[in-house]
Amino acid sequence: MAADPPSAPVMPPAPSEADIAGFLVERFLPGLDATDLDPEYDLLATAVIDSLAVLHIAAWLTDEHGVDLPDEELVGRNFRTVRAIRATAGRAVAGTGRS
Amino acid sequence: MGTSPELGIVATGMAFGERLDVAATAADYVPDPEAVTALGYRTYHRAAPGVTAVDLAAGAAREALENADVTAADLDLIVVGNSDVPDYLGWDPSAAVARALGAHSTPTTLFTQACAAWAPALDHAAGAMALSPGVETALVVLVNVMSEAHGNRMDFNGCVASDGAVAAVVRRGHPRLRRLSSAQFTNPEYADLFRIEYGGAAVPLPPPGSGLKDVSPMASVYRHFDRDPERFQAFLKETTGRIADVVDEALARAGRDRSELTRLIHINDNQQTFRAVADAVGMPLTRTNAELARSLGHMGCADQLVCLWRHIEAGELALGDLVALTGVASPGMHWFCTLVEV
Repeated sequence: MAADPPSAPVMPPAPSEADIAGFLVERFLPGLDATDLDPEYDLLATAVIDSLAVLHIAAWLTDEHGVDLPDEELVGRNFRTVRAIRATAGRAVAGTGRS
Repeated sequence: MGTSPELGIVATGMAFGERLDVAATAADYVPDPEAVTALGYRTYHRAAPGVTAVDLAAGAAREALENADVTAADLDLIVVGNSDVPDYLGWDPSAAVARALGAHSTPTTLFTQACAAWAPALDHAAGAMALSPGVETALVVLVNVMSEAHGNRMDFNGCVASDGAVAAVVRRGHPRLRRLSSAQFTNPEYADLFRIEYGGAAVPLPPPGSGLKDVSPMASVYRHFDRDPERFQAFLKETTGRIADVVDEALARAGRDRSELTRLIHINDNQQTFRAVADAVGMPLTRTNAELARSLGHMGCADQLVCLWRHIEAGELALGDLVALTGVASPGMHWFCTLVEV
């Protein structure tokens, strides 16, 4: 019997902006409705995100979405906004780094 | 010759690089200047090209000698703390400072405990006076000149690194600005944190295609804690909690307590860290050097003495006030506190 051809590895999809907003609100902005979090809201300048929060988000991406960020992506600017976090996760999924 | 091992600061001198605006220059260093301005710094100092740490240290030292009305020949000891990468490997900046001052036969000692070298430098002077009755007058010089070849002054431990030097002439038995005690805690688990990966004996050169600054300091820190937020959070808590520990230990050694503290002078850290440190020690933020830090930038081991003197010049300290000068040094990591009575 012929072996099945090897299938291409299935990459997890990057979480959506709504997913990310939901996590951020639950973890760092209690009381806010996730739909009210502007995807371009500056989380760094407003001190929502700090060096510890970067690790919490990275751990959430790994644990809940199977997205492992390379070391060089773990810099604050990649977590500045919901949209930036989405792009950072997208690069990891695509295997294209940029910090 | 005296017998009291207690020393006091007779006079100081300072030398700084050019004063620059953080907001106007941050984009020269990082792609996200907003993240730098959010740290709370307004200005910092940068040495002109060709101006070395020894140049600034010698400039501060000359001013201190003049203000104390002594000459290099009057010095029994020169102690230098140098926070950043020295001009050369296998080289002693303390001897170079002595040569620049014309102190041709004065013993010198170098301390390299990064941002907290101030405390062991002063301790060494006090120790020399305790051990050797002939040591009456010493010069303690603290300097930081950021090597921009090895690091990014605006992507550096949450601080904006600044170039400056301060020197103090200290004398046995001097009744003002007396060093009362000190305390230190070292956690060797963190010995590798924030090290410069390339250029030392282990890895003399970066890999082909890489530069000296291609290793992100924070990525290395995250890796050390296996990216575990809980472990990293415990580390953050430790960095401020240990400050309170060494403050209490220094106070206990001097037979004093926190209620007697007039002011806390910490390294010129970012404003968020200042709030955490002030909370840990139970000191109002207004009785720290948080505002001075905004305009000075983080001058490594020079911070504490520069700020002490600025507070005195501003009339914010009076005779008999008790001041805790604290620091966290990385690499190390070390936590230090020196207790000074004005």
